Amino acid sequence: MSFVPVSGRGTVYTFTVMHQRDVAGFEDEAPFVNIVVELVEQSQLLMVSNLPIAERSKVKIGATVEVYFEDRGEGLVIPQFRII
Amino acid sequence: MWQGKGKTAIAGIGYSEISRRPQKPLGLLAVDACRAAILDAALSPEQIDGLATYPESPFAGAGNRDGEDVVTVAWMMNHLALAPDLRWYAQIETGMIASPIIEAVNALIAGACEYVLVWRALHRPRPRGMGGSGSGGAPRASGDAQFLAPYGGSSIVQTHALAWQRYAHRYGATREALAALAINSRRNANLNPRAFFFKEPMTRDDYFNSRWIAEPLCLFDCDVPVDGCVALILTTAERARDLANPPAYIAGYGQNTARRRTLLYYTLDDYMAHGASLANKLWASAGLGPQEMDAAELYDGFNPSTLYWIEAAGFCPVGEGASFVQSGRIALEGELPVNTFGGSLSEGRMHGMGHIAEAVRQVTGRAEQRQISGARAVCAIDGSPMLRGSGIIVTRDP
Repeated sequence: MSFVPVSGRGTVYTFTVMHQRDVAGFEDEAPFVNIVVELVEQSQLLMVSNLPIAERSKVKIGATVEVYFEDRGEGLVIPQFRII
Repeated sequence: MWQGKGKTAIAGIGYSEISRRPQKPLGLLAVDACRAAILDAALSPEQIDGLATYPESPFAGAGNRDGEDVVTVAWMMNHLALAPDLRWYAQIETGMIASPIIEAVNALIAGACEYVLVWRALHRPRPRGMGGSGSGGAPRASGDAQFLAPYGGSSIVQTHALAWQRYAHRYGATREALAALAINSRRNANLNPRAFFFKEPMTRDDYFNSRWIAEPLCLFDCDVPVDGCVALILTTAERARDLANPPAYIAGYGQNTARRRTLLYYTLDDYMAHGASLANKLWASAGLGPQEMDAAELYDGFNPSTLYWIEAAGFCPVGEGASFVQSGRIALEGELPVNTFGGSLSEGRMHGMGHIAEAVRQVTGRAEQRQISGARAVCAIDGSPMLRGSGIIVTRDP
Protein backbone atom coordinates (compact mmCIF):
# COMPACT_ATOMS: atom_id res chain seq x y z
CA MET A 1 0.00 0.00 0.00
CA SER A 2 1.09 3.58 -0.56
CA PHE A 3 -0.19 7.16 -0.48
CA VAL A 4 -1.80 8.38 -3.72
CA PRO A 5 -2.60 12.06 -4.45
CA VAL A 6 -6.29 12.87 -4.92
CA SER A 7 -7.99 15.83 -6.58
CA GLY A 8 -9.84 17.13 -3.53
CA ARG A 9 -13.18 16.88 -5.31
CA GLY A 10 -16.10 14.72 -4.28
CA THR A 11 -19.75 14.57 -3.34
CA VAL A 12 -21.57 14.74 -0.02
CA TYR A 13 -22.23 11.12 1.01
CA THR A 14 -24.03 12.17 4.19
CA PHE A 15 -24.05 15.06 6.67
CA THR A 16 -25.22 16.29 10.06
CA VAL A 17 -25.50 19.65 11.80
CA MET A 18 -24.09 19.28 15.30
CA HIS A 19 -25.73 21.40 18.01
CA GLN A 20 -24.25 19.91 21.18
CA ARG A 21 -21.47 21.96 22.77
CA ASP A 22 -19.60 19.01 24.22
CA VAL A 23 -17.15 18.17 21.44
CA ALA A 24 -13.58 19.03 22.47
CA GLY A 25 -12.27 22.10 20.66
CA PHE A 26 -15.69 22.83 19.16
CA GLU A 27 -17.50 24.11 22.26
CA ASP A 28 -17.88 27.59 20.75
CA GLU A 29 -18.50 26.48 17.16
CA ALA A 30 -21.93 24.80 17.47
CA PRO A 31 -23.90 24.57 15.36
CA PHE A 32 -21.41 23.27 12.82
CA VAL A 33 -21.71 21.02 9.78
CA ASN A 34 -20.05 17.63 9.53
CA ILE A 35 -19.98 15.94 6.16
CA VAL A 36 -18.79 12.61 4.88
CA VAL A 37 -17.27 13.17 1.45
CA GLU A 38 -17.07 10.45 -1.18
CA LEU A 39 -14.01 11.37 -3.23
CA VAL A 40 -14.32 11.28 -7.02
CA GLU A 41 -11.36 8.94 -7.36
CA GLN A 42 -13.13 5.85 -6.05
CA SER A 43 -16.57 4.65 -4.98
CA GLN A 44 -16.86 4.36 -1.16
CA LEU A 45 -13.59 6.28 -0.62
CA LEU A 46 -14.95 8.28 2.29
CA MET A 47 -13.57 10.96 4.61
CA VAL A 48 -15.07 13.05 7.38
CA SER A 49 -14.74 16.85 7.22
CA ASN A 50 -16.74 20.07 7.51
CA LEU A 51 -18.68 22.56 5.44
CA PRO A 52 -18.90 26.22 6.46
CA ILE A 53 -22.04 26.80 8.54
CA ALA A 54 -23.09 29.41 5.95
CA GLU A 55 -23.64 26.54 3.51
CA ARG A 56 -25.95 24.74 5.91
CA SER A 57 -29.10 25.40 3.88
CA LYS A 58 -27.50 24.25 0.62
CA VAL A 59 -26.09 20.94 1.79
CA LYS A 60 -27.72 17.75 0.57
CA ILE A 61 -26.62 14.23 -0.21
CA GLY A 62 -24.98 14.21 -3.63
CA ALA A 63 -23.91 17.88 -3.60
CA THR A 64 -20.55 18.45 -5.34
CA VAL A 65 -17.80 19.74 -3.05
CA GLU A 66 -14.13 20.66 -3.28
CA VAL A 67 -11.41 20.93 -0.71
CA TYR A 68 -9.71 24.01 0.73
CA PHE A 69 -7.14 24.06 3.48
CA GLU A 70 -7.66 25.99 6.68
CA ASP A 71 -4.77 27.05 8.89
CA ARG A 72 -5.85 26.62 12.50
CA GLY A 73 -2.53 27.80 13.92
CA GLU A 74 0.16 25.95 15.85
CA GLY A 75 1.07 24.04 12.71
CA LEU A 76 -2.39 22.55 12.27
CA VAL A 77 -3.73 22.73 8.72
CA ILE A 78 -6.91 20.78 8.02
CA PRO A 79 -8.83 20.00 4.84
CA GLN A 80 -12.26 21.62 4.72
CA PHE A 81 -14.85 21.54 1.92
CA ARG A 82 -17.18 23.96 0.19
CA ILE A 83 -20.06 23.35 -2.17
CA ILE A 84 -19.30 24.11 -5.85
CA MET B 1 -29.57 -25.62 16.79
CA TRP B 2 -27.54 -24.82 19.88
CA GLN B 3 -27.16 -27.74 22.28
CA GLY B 4 -27.59 -25.47 25.30
CA LYS B 5 -31.12 -24.42 24.37
CA GLY B 6 -33.41 -24.41 27.40
CA LYS B 7 -30.74 -25.67 29.81
CA THR B 8 -30.39 -22.41 31.75
CA ALA B 9 -32.80 -19.75 32.89
CA ILE B 10 -33.09 -16.28 34.35
CA ALA B 11 -34.71 -16.63 37.76
CA GLY B 12 -34.57 -13.17 39.34
CA ILE B 13 -34.61 -9.47 38.44
CA GLY B 14 -33.50 -6.55 40.57
CA TYR B 15 -33.56 -2.81 39.94
CA SER B 16 -31.99 0.01 41.87
CA GLU B 17 -33.55 3.44 41.80
CA ILE B 18 -32.99 4.96 38.34
CA SER B 19 -32.47 8.71 38.50
CA ARG B 20 -30.35 11.61 37.36
CA ARG B 21 -29.52 12.92 40.83
CA PRO B 22 -28.97 9.87 43.03
CA GLN B 23 -28.41 10.30 46.76
CA LYS B 24 -25.88 7.47 46.86
CA PRO B 25 -22.86 6.40 44.85
CA LEU B 26 -23.13 3.93 42.01
CA GLY B 27 -21.64 1.07 44.03
CA LEU B 28 -24.46 1.26 46.56
CA LEU B 29 -27.07 1.41 43.80
CA ALA B 30 -25.46 -1.76 42.42
CA VAL B 31 -25.74 -3.48 45.81
CA ASP B 32 -29.43 -2.44 45.93
CA ALA B 33 -30.09 -3.98 42.52
CA CYS B 34 -28.14 -7.17 43.28
CA ARG B 35 -29.85 -7.69 46.63
CA ALA B 36 -33.23 -7.13 44.96
CA ALA B 37 -32.45 -9.73 42.28
CA ILE B 38 -31.31 -12.28 44.87
CA LEU B 39 -34.45 -11.63 46.94
CA ASP B 40 -36.65 -11.85 43.85
CA ALA B 41 -35.31 -15.35 43.16
CA ALA B 42 -35.84 -16.26 46.85
CA LEU B 43 -32.12 -16.98 47.25
CA SER B 44 -29.70 -15.66 49.84
CA PRO B 45 -26.44 -13.89 48.95
CA GLU B 46 -24.30 -16.77 50.24
CA GLN B 47 -25.83 -19.04 47.60
CA ILE B 48 -24.39 -16.88 44.79
CA ASP B 49 -21.22 -18.60 43.60
CA GLY B 50 -20.80 -16.91 40.20
CA LEU B 51 -20.46 -13.27 39.15
CA ALA B 52 -20.43 -11.56 35.77
CA THR B 53 -20.64 -7.97 34.57
CA TYR B 54 -19.83 -5.59 31.75
CA PRO B 55 -18.54 -2.59 33.67
CA GLU B 56 -17.57 -0.09 30.94
CA SER B 57 -18.26 3.63 31.26
CA PRO B 58 -20.74 4.98 28.72
CA PHE B 59 -17.96 6.79 26.85
CA ALA B 60 -14.19 6.86 26.81
CA GLY B 61 -12.66 9.23 29.33
CA ALA B 62 -15.70 9.19 31.63
CA GLY B 63 -13.73 7.95 34.62
CA ASN B 64 -13.32 4.49 36.08
CA ARG B 65 -13.24 4.80 39.87
CA ASP B 66 -14.61 1.53 41.15
CA GLY B 67 -17.85 1.97 43.07
CA GLU B 68 -18.33 5.50 41.74
CA ASP B 69 -18.00 5.47 37.95
CA VAL B 70 -18.09 1.70 37.40
CA VAL B 71 -18.86 -1.39 39.50
CA THR B 72 -16.51 -4.29 38.84
CA VAL B 73 -16.53 -7.92 39.90
CA ALA B 74 -13.91 -7.08 42.54
CA TRP B 75 -16.13 -4.37 44.00
CA MET B 76 -19.12 -6.70 44.26
CA MET B 77 -17.01 -9.42 45.91
CA ASN B 78 -16.04 -6.92 48.58
CA HIS B 79 -19.51 -5.52 49.23
CA LEU B 80 -21.89 -8.48 49.21
CA ALA B 81 -21.65 -11.51 51.54
CA LEU B 82 -21.54 -13.99 48.66
CA ALA B 83 -20.74 -17.70 48.82
CA PRO B 84 -17.53 -18.16 50.83
CA ASP B 85 -16.37 -20.55 48.12
CA LEU B 86 -17.22 -18.25 45.20
CA ARG B 87 -16.41 -20.41 42.21
CA TRP B 88 -16.54 -18.40 39.01
CA TYR B 89 -16.54 -14.86 37.63
CA ALA B 90 -16.21 -13.03 34.32
CA GLN B 91 -15.72 -9.36 33.54
CA ILE B 92 -16.40 -8.64 29.90
CA GLU B 93 -14.87 -5.71 28.00
CA THR B 94 -16.80 -5.97 24.77
CA GLY B 95 -20.16 -7.21 23.51
CA MET B 96 -22.25 -5.29 26.04
CA ILE B 97 -24.42 -6.87 28.72
CA ALA B 98 -25.72 -9.96 26.93
CA SER B 99 -22.10 -11.10 26.63
CA PRO B 100 -21.60 -11.67 30.39
CA ILE B 101 -24.98 -13.40 30.33
CA ILE B 102 -23.69 -15.65 27.55
CA GLU B 103 -20.57 -16.34 29.64
CA ALA B 104 -22.74 -17.15 32.65
CA VAL B 105 -24.89 -19.53 30.59
CA ASN B 106 -21.79 -21.33 29.35
CA ALA B 107 -20.36 -21.53 32.87
CA LEU B 108 -23.62 -22.97 34.24
CA ILE B 109 -23.83 -25.58 31.48
CA ALA B 110 -20.19 -26.48 32.13
CA GLY B 111 -20.98 -26.93 35.82
CA ALA B 112 -18.57 -24.20 36.89
CA CYS B 113 -21.09 -22.73 39.36
CA GLU B 114 -24.74 -22.92 40.40
CA TYR B 115 -26.16 -19.41 40.76
CA VAL B 116 -24.73 -16.46 38.83
CA LEU B 117 -25.39 -12.82 39.64
CA VAL B 118 -25.11 -10.59 36.54
CA TRP B 119 -25.36 -6.82 36.84
CA ARG B 120 -24.85 -3.67 34.84
CA ALA B 121 -24.28 -0.45 36.75
CA LEU B 122 -24.25 2.79 34.81
CA HIS B 123 -23.18 6.22 35.89
CA ARG B 124 -24.16 9.42 34.13
CA PRO B 125 -20.80 11.14 33.87
CA ARG B 126 -20.22 14.79 33.29
CA PRO B 127 -17.75 15.64 30.55
CA ARG B 128 -14.44 16.39 32.24
CA GLY B 129 -11.76 18.86 31.28
CA MET B 130 -11.07 18.67 27.59
CA GLY B 131 -13.19 15.54 27.61
CA GLY B 132 -16.38 16.09 25.77
CA SER B 133 -18.36 13.06 24.83
CA GLY B 134 -16.21 12.20 21.88
CA SER B 135 -12.61 13.06 22.62
CA GLY B 136 -11.78 10.49 25.25
CA GLY B 137 -10.30 13.36 27.23
CA ALA B 138 -7.03 13.28 25.33
CA PRO B 139 -5.31 16.58 24.57
CA ARG B 140 -4.28 15.29 21.13
CA ALA B 141 -6.21 13.00 18.83
CA SER B 142 -4.44 9.83 17.81
CA GLY B 143 -5.39 6.55 16.18
CA ASP B 144 -8.74 6.56 14.42
CA ALA B 145 -9.70 9.76 16.26
CA GLN B 146 -7.14 11.77 14.24
CA PHE B 147 -9.49 11.47 11.28
CA LEU B 148 -12.54 12.62 13.24
CA ALA B 149 -11.58 14.86 16.16
CA PRO B 150 -10.03 17.70 14.06
CA TYR B 151 -13.45 18.08 12.39
CA GLY B 152 -15.44 17.92 15.61
CA GLY B 153 -16.82 14.61 14.40
CA SER B 154 -16.01 12.25 17.21
CA SER B 155 -19.26 12.16 19.19
CA ILE B 156 -21.31 8.98 18.86
CA VAL B 157 -24.50 10.93 18.22
CA GLN B 158 -22.98 12.35 15.03
CA THR B 159 -22.26 8.81 13.82
CA HIS B 160 -25.92 7.96 14.26
CA ALA B 161 -27.07 11.18 12.61
CA LEU B 162 -24.86 10.54 9.58
CA ALA B 163 -26.20 7.00 9.18
CA TRP B 164 -29.83 8.05 9.64
CA GLN B 165 -29.45 10.84 7.08
CA ARG B 166 -28.24 8.21 4.64
CA TYR B 167 -31.10 5.87 5.53
CA ALA B 168 -33.71 8.59 5.05
CA HIS B 169 -32.18 9.48 1.67
CA ARG B 170 -31.98 5.87 0.49
CA TYR B 171 -35.47 4.78 1.50
CA GLY B 172 -37.45 8.03 1.64
CA ALA B 173 -37.99 7.81 5.41
CA THR B 174 -38.88 10.90 7.44
CA ARG B 175 -38.70 11.97 11.07
CA GLU B 176 -42.27 10.65 11.44
CA ALA B 177 -40.75 7.17 11.76
CA LEU B 178 -38.50 8.31 14.61
CA ALA B 179 -41.41 10.13 16.25
CA ALA B 180 -43.50 6.94 16.08
CA LEU B 181 -40.72 4.96 17.80
CA ALA B 182 -40.13 7.56 20.52
CA ILE B 183 -43.85 7.94 21.26
CA ASN B 184 -44.32 4.15 21.36
CA SER B 185 -41.52 3.85 23.90
CA ARG B 186 -42.90 6.64 26.05
CA ARG B 187 -46.38 5.14 26.00
CA ASN B 188 -44.94 1.86 27.28
CA ALA B 189 -42.78 3.64 29.88
CA ASN B 190 -45.94 5.26 31.23
CA LEU B 191 -46.95 1.70 32.23
CA ASN B 192 -43.56 0.92 33.82
CA PRO B 193 -43.15 2.23 37.37
CA ARG B 194 -39.34 1.85 37.20
CA ALA B 195 -39.05 4.08 34.12
CA PHE B 196 -37.46 7.50 34.39
CA PHE B 197 -40.35 8.92 32.33
CA PHE B 198 -43.08 6.85 34.07
CA LYS B 199 -45.19 9.90 34.79
CA GLU B 200 -44.46 11.98 31.69
CA PRO B 201 -46.39 11.33 28.49
CA MET B 202 -45.08 12.45 25.10
CA THR B 203 -47.10 13.82 22.19
CA ARG B 204 -46.09 14.16 18.57
CA ASP B 205 -45.73 17.91 19.17
CA ASP B 206 -43.46 17.25 22.16
CA TYR B 207 -41.22 15.20 19.89
CA PHE B 208 -41.08 17.72 17.04
CA ASN B 209 -40.61 20.67 19.42
CA SER B 210 -37.61 19.14 21.19
CA ARG B 211 -34.21 20.68 20.54
CA TRP B 212 -31.70 19.45 18.01
CA ILE B 213 -28.76 17.40 19.16
CA ALA B 214 -27.21 16.43 15.83
CA GLU B 215 -29.61 17.09 12.97
CA PRO B 216 -31.66 15.20 11.96
CA LEU B 217 -31.64 13.71 15.49
CA CYS B 218 -33.31 15.60 18.32
CA LEU B 219 -33.26 15.27 22.11
CA PHE B 220 -35.91 12.53 22.16
CA ASP B 221 -33.89 10.43 19.71
CA CYS B 222 -31.28 9.96 22.46
CA ASP B 223 -31.57 7.67 25.48
CA VAL B 224 -31.91 9.31 28.87
CA PRO B 225 -28.59 9.18 30.77
CA VAL B 226 -29.15 8.05 34.34
CA ASP B 227 -27.46 6.50 37.33
CA GLY B 228 -28.67 3.06 38.22
CA CYS B 229 -28.17 -0.68 38.12
CA VAL B 230 -30.13 -3.71 36.96
CA ALA B 231 -29.22 -7.22 38.11
CA LEU B 232 -30.29 -10.72 37.11
CA ILE B 233 -29.94 -14.19 38.62
CA LEU B 234 -29.08 -17.06 36.27
CA THR B 235 -29.05 -20.73 37.08
CA THR B 236 -29.62 -24.10 35.47
CA ALA B 237 -33.12 -24.93 34.28
CA GLU B 238 -33.45 -27.66 36.93
CA ARG B 239 -32.52 -25.37 39.80
CA ALA B 240 -34.65 -22.55 38.42
CA ARG B 241 -37.78 -24.70 38.61
CA ASP B 242 -37.34 -24.89 42.41
CA LEU B 243 -37.13 -21.11 42.88
CA ALA B 244 -39.76 -18.45 43.47
CA ASN B 245 -40.50 -17.31 39.92
CA PRO B 246 -41.40 -19.11 36.71
CA PRO B 247 -38.07 -19.55 34.85
CA ALA B 248 -37.33 -17.56 31.70
CA TYR B 249 -35.45 -20.19 29.72
CA ILE B 250 -32.53 -19.08 27.59
CA ALA B 251 -33.32 -20.47 24.15
CA GLY B 252 -30.49 -18.92 22.18
CA TYR B 253 -27.80 -16.30 22.00
CA GLY B 254 -25.70 -14.43 19.48
CA GLN B 255 -22.91 -11.90 19.17
CA ASN B 256 -21.94 -9.49 16.41
CA THR B 257 -18.71 -10.64 14.79
CA ALA B 258 -18.89 -8.64 11.56
CA ARG B 259 -15.90 -6.73 10.21
CA ARG B 260 -15.95 -2.99 9.60
CA ARG B 261 -15.84 -1.54 6.10
CA THR B 262 -13.94 1.55 7.18
CA LEU B 263 -12.15 2.38 10.39
CA LEU B 264 -13.05 6.06 10.23
CA TYR B 265 -16.79 6.08 10.63
CA TYR B 266 -19.59 3.53 10.48
CA THR B 267 -21.65 3.60 7.30
CA LEU B 268 -25.28 2.59 7.18
CA ASP B 269 -24.15 -0.56 5.41
CA ASP B 270 -21.97 -1.35 8.47
CA TYR B 271 -24.99 -0.98 10.74
CA MET B 272 -27.03 -3.41 8.69
CA ALA B 273 -24.27 -5.98 8.16
CA HIS B 274 -23.36 -5.98 11.86
CA GLY B 275 -27.00 -6.21 12.89
CA ALA B 276 -27.53 -9.22 10.64
CA SER B 277 -24.35 -10.84 11.98
CA LEU B 278 -25.86 -10.89 15.47
CA ALA B 279 -29.45 -11.65 14.52
CA ASN B 280 -28.59 -14.56 12.23
CA LYS B 281 -26.71 -16.31 15.04
CA LEU B 282 -29.53 -15.59 17.46
CA TRP B 283 -32.18 -17.24 15.25
CA ALA B 284 -29.94 -20.16 14.32
CA SER B 285 -29.03 -20.96 17.93
CA ALA B 286 -32.64 -21.02 19.13
CA GLY B 287 -34.11 -22.63 16.04
CA LEU B 288 -36.66 -19.81 16.10
CA GLY B 289 -37.29 -16.97 13.69
CA PRO B 290 -38.61 -13.41 13.91
CA GLN B 291 -42.15 -14.63 13.17
CA GLU B 292 -42.09 -16.60 16.44
CA MET B 293 -41.30 -13.61 18.66
CA ASP B 294 -44.18 -12.31 20.75
CA ALA B 295 -42.27 -9.07 21.38
CA ALA B 296 -38.87 -7.59 20.58
CA GLU B 297 -36.76 -5.62 23.06
CA LEU B 298 -34.34 -3.82 20.73
CA TYR B 299 -31.47 -1.60 21.80
CA ASP B 300 -32.23 2.08 21.41
CA GLY B 301 -29.30 4.09 22.70
CA PHE B 302 -30.17 6.26 19.73
CA ASN B 303 -33.62 5.96 18.23
CA PRO B 304 -32.75 4.93 14.64
CA SER B 305 -31.06 1.78 15.98
CA THR B 306 -34.44 0.28 16.83
CA LEU B 307 -35.54 0.64 13.23
CA TYR B 308 -32.28 -0.88 11.94
CA TRP B 309 -32.71 -3.82 14.32
CA ILE B 310 -36.27 -4.40 13.11
CA GLU B 311 -34.89 -4.74 9.59
CA ALA B 312 -31.61 -6.52 10.36
CA ALA B 313 -33.39 -9.13 12.48
CA GLY B 314 -35.89 -9.78 9.70
CA PHE B 315 -39.05 -8.43 11.32
CA CYS B 316 -39.68 -6.58 8.06
CA PRO B 317 -37.84 -6.29 4.73
CA VAL B 318 -34.85 -3.92 4.58
CA GLY B 319 -36.02 -0.44 3.63
CA GLU B 320 -39.55 -0.94 4.96
CA GLY B 321 -38.84 -0.22 8.62
CA ALA B 322 -40.27 3.30 8.54
CA SER B 323 -43.70 2.24 7.31
CA PHE B 324 -43.57 -0.75 9.69
CA VAL B 325 -43.07 1.41 12.79
CA GLN B 326 -45.61 4.00 11.64
CA SER B 327 -48.31 1.37 11.10
CA GLY B 328 -49.07 0.69 14.77
CA ARG B 329 -47.63 -2.82 14.55
CA ILE B 330 -45.00 -2.07 17.24
CA ALA B 331 -47.56 -1.02 19.87
CA LEU B 332 -48.28 -3.23 22.90
CA GLU B 333 -51.47 -4.40 21.20
CA GLY B 334 -49.81 -4.71 17.78
CA GLU B 335 -48.43 -7.77 16.00
CA LEU B 336 -44.83 -7.11 17.15
CA PRO B 337 -44.72 -5.07 20.36
CA VAL B 338 -41.32 -3.32 20.53
CA ASN B 339 -39.56 -2.04 23.65
CA THR B 340 -42.58 -2.80 25.77
CA PHE B 341 -40.97 -1.30 28.90
CA GLY B 342 -40.08 2.05 27.35
CA GLY B 343 -36.60 1.28 26.03
CA SER B 344 -33.51 3.21 26.97
CA LEU B 345 -35.22 6.26 25.47
CA SER B 346 -37.82 6.37 28.24
CA GLU B 347 -36.88 3.90 30.97
CA GLY B 348 -33.27 5.08 31.11
CA ARG B 349 -29.86 4.16 29.77
CA MET B 350 -29.20 0.75 31.28
CA HIS B 351 -27.28 -0.40 28.19
CA GLY B 352 -29.56 -3.30 27.34
CA MET B 353 -30.30 -4.62 30.85
CA GLY B 354 -33.76 -3.11 30.83
CA HIS B 355 -34.40 -4.88 27.54
CA ILE B 356 -33.38 -8.26 28.97
CA ALA B 357 -35.27 -7.77 32.23
CA GLU B 358 -38.42 -6.92 30.28
CA ALA B 359 -38.06 -9.96 28.00
CA VAL B 360 -37.89 -12.07 31.18
CA ARG B 361 -40.94 -10.36 32.65
CA GLN B 362 -42.97 -10.89 29.46
CA VAL B 363 -42.34 -14.64 29.11
CA THR B 364 -42.90 -15.27 32.82
CA GLY B 365 -46.17 -13.33 33.04
CA ARG B 366 -44.64 -10.67 35.29
CA ALA B 367 -44.96 -7.64 33.01
CA GLU B 368 -47.62 -5.82 35.04
CA GLN B 369 -49.88 -3.60 32.93
CA ARG B 370 -47.63 -4.18 29.92
CA GLN B 371 -48.16 -7.94 29.83
CA ILE B 372 -48.62 -9.40 26.35
CA SER B 373 -51.15 -12.17 26.68
CA GLY B 374 -49.61 -15.61 26.25
CA ALA B 375 -46.08 -14.37 25.46
CA ARG B 376 -43.90 -17.43 24.87
CA ALA B 377 -40.73 -16.11 23.19
CA VAL B 378 -39.10 -12.66 23.31
CA CYS B 379 -35.72 -11.51 22.01
CA ALA B 380 -33.56 -8.91 23.74
CA ILE B 381 -30.77 -7.38 21.72
CA ASP B 382 -27.99 -5.13 23.04
CA GLY B 383 -25.96 -2.50 21.36
CA SER B 384 -26.41 -0.20 18.41
CA PRO B 385 -26.16 -2.52 15.42
CA MET B 386 -22.66 -1.42 14.40
CA LEU B 387 -21.21 -1.89 17.88
CA ARG B 388 -20.11 -5.16 19.47
CA GLY B 389 -23.58 -6.09 20.59
CA SER B 390 -25.03 -9.37 21.74
CA GLY B 391 -28.47 -10.77 22.30
CA ILE B 392 -30.53 -13.55 23.81
CA ILE B 393 -33.91 -15.16 23.30
CA VAL B 394 -35.92 -16.13 26.37
CA THR B 395 -38.86 -18.50 26.32
CA ARG B 396 -41.67 -19.54 28.63
CA ASP B 397 -41.05 -23.24 27.95
CA PRO B 398 -37.63 -24.95 27.85
